[in-house]
Amino acid sequence: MSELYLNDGKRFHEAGEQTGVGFAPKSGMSVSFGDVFNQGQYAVYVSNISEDGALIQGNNLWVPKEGTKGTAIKYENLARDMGVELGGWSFGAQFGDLNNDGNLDLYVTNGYVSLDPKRSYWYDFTKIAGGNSSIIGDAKDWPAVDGRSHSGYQQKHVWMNDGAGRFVDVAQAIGVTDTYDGRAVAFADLWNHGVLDVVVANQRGPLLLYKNTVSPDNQWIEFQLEGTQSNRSAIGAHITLSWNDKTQIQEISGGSGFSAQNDRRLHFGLGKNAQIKSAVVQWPSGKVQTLDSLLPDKLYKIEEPQ
Amino acid sequence: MTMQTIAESAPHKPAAKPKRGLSLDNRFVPPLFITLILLAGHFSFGILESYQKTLLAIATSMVAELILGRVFFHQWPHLASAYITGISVGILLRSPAFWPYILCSLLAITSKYVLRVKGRHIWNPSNFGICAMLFLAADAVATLSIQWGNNLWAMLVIWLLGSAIILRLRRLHICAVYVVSFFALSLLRAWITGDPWLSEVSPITGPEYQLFIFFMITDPKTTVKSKLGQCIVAFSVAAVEMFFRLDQSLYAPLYALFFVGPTALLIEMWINSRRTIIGNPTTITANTVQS
Repeated sequence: MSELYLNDGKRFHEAGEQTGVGFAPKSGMSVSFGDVFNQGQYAVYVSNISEDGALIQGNNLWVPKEGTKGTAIKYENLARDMGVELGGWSFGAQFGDLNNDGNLDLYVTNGYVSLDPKRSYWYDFTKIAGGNSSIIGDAKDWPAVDGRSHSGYQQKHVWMNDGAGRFVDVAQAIGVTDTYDGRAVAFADLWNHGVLDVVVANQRGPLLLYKNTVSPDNQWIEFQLEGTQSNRSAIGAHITLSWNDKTQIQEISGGSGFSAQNDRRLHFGLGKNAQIKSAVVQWPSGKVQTLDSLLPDKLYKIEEPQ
Repeated sequence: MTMQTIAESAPHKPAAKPKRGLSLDNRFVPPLFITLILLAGHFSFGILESYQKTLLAIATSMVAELILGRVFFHQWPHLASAYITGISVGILLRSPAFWPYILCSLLAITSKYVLRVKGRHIWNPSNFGICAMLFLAADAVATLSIQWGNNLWAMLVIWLLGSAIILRLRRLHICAVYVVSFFALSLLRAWITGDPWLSEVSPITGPEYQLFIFFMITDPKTTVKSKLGQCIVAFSVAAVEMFFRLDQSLYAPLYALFFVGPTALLIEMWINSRRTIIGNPTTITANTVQS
């Protein structure tokens, strides 16, 4: 069961059931956050396990219900409506604007055990996993895997956010064709070219580095924050960027998805002809800093004011 | 599921003697039992996909029952059976989408009215609906199999309550034969596959099997009438299930009942018709044997 802890400034309160995210028990493989509607609020993506004919949990995209916030916030799962529900045996997932169009896209890697592609372990798995804990808990009761696959050789998902409420899977079209047992996904502008590249760690497979190429018409802006009163890495800082008619919030996170951390530089795609209004930095210390006169296609290094 | 048949079969039995004190009409026992399972399972393990989906399945079943009962038999049917079908679908079917709960309930109830032989429906409605969904929409649905808690107490509660209720309904022998057969055949399966015996026993210790045993295989409307026949069918379900299991079918018990149940009923009808043709009007019918 998913648990959500709301921080009242002094302590955390478990609010999974109250907010709607803690209802149906699922396998919960990773969690990532992204402002998918450009409304200054995070949606929460939880990856789970789905296998045709065996187990259909579906991944969850918890989006704040309109008009709710603070301690009264409530979420609804829009994963099916937005097309990001079925991702196989999903592991790491990350939000990031991969095509700089101003909308956060979603990369999900998956696959559990890829061994003999013609023989599956799913039957033996369900045979014992539905039983009593005293049987499940002893490894000698489990049938041997014996070289069989278990949700192996799965196709990855690169879901592009169309900005109108739907994600479209373009993985095969853009060259993400590997079928390794994916675990961690992280985004970083590795070539300092104003584009998010993708790093994928696999189990029993090579580290993958996907260099991203994006139409130069689509603009971007990046921020590198350094804390002075806050922690120097500025972990926990938020930037709310307003441009044209959009507002998007991003956070410098110490870890998101499955065993992963994105580049601490925050990257915002802006689309074409971007007119940036402001960027509001909320530092972990509580300070709020407003940045004006920002130009697209630049990296800004910001130090926390004293 | 079976319960619905129990509910429907009640009026066919000889009038029961009036009981003193608190007593419960048999037709309400199964709905009450399955509701208790639902509540216990959900509040202990959160078994439900969502309240809305379960309610949707129940509502669809009951509305379909009302409409089809009116259309086919020109009367308002008792809704206990449809309630059980809906709640069974709500518990056993797993899907992130809403439409499978509607479609499965519709298929289940419709099968009672459409798939009939000599005035009897031959599939357990829930079994039919869920199997149809698994055949037709395997990419959208699964059954409750590995996401219900694995603790002991819930299993014991269901076993004890279920046994008491099934004993009251005089169908415990069906459950007993199936359970004994399952254990015996698990030895055979373990010997054939070389897997640990407990891995073969494991499925029956899960709550899904308790629902299957107490609600599906005991369905009076879709099981044969004679006690011996019921025992043979219960064993046959376990035996066919073994073959499905050897073929690594994830839904072996449901598929076994799907094939064995109607086959047994058709054989029983054929035997009864042969007896009628022979011209022995005093032939002992299944009902008489049972009574």
